[in-house]
Amino acid sequence: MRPPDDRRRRFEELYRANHDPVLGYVVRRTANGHDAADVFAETFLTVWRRLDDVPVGEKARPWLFGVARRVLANHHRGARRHTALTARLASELRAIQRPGEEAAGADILTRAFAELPDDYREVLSLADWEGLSAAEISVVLGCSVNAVRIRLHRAGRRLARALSEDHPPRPAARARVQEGDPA
Amino acid sequence: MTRITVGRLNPVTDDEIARLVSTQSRDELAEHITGTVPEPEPRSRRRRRLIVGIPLVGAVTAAAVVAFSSGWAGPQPAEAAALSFQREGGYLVVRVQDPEADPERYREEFRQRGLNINLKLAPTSPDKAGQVLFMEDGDDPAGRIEAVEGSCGEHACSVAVKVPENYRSYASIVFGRAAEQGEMYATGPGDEPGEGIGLPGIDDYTVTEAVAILRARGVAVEYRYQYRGSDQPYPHGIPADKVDPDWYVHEGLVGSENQAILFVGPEPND
Repeated sequence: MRPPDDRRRRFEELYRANHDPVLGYVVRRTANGHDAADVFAETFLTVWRRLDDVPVGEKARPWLFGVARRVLANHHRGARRHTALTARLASELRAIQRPGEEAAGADILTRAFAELPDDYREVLSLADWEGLSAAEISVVLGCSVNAVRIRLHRAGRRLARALSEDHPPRPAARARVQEGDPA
Repeated sequence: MTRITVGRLNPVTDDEIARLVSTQSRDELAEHITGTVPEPEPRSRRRRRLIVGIPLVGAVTAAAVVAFSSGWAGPQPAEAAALSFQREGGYLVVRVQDPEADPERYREEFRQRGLNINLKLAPTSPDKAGQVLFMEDGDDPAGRIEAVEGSCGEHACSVAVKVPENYRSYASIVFGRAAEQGEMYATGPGDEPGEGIGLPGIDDYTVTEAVAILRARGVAVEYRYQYRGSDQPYPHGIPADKVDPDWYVHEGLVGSENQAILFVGPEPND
């Protein structure tokens, strides 16, 4: 068993090194500062409990994202646990300016991205917002690197298709894809 | 193909967040967290896992609670071990205690006994679970390593490795284990769709075409359904008799040494 001081030191190292990226990950995927603060706190509470499971080195951060991801999933299911200890953080995060509706409406990339299935949005955002490699994403999602590559590939293709469809309408090209038609 | 980046859609950067959060707030939260006393370590992690059941993908809460219980309290070394070691008739018999353990833990436990052995469990189709998928060992005057096949699932695994006493050479062994629900099978060396099964560009094939080539090579085929990014209504694979030969192949992955998993569906690739 780790001596208590050792545990605390390890936690503090992880906390210091990953506070901003993990909080960023959470803020980008929650609706408001309050939710973000709760999810963030619970993520690191989990890290504290599972300290010995946290991989050392480069895998630590994607592993933490993976924990945050599960906490988020629970949170979205309604398991909300507002705690007093996150009040200060929540109030600080209230200052974040989130993109307004009018910006979203004007932008075809925003729209195309918003219309992607959740799992496609997830891999694309992990790659482009968190800047993770396929190998790191596989740690976050707990699946194989190949699965991530395939999903990234599909997501990118779907996005490209949505963008090209949004530009010049090509009814003839689309007509061959009939729903449920085994072609 | 260069993928379109969605980087500029990032609603808020880490730097922006870092500027908002005060040192006081950071420290206070860390202080609160490390001030909490973790729950007592449950004595039987495995039993609890079985109660929870298999759906790791869906039952996030339950899986989290259970899996999270493993680390902190520093259970006794024997309890935490990923492998067990037992001397039997001139061999050291090494059994897998925790099929979910990081291979690095196996490696470390081998290392602690002076052994340079890489053991890995790779997700496979059920019929390859517990079998040796790959084995490589060096010449050693002490003898050769033997792999003992058995059954192997997510929670329990009966495979073992018999290491001659005084064995000092290197070995690398990969056993198959039953894939978790929704988990991809271990893939081959290729990263491009279809490359791992020797059919790069597989998304140009129909089911009939792909299967004809694979059959000619003696490769068994298993199907997964894919339609517009969804695997519904066949989340666990589609039976061969429900697959239309004229459907399109989207991907091909290596299931095991001699098996291919084809992702198929009614819609052509674009």
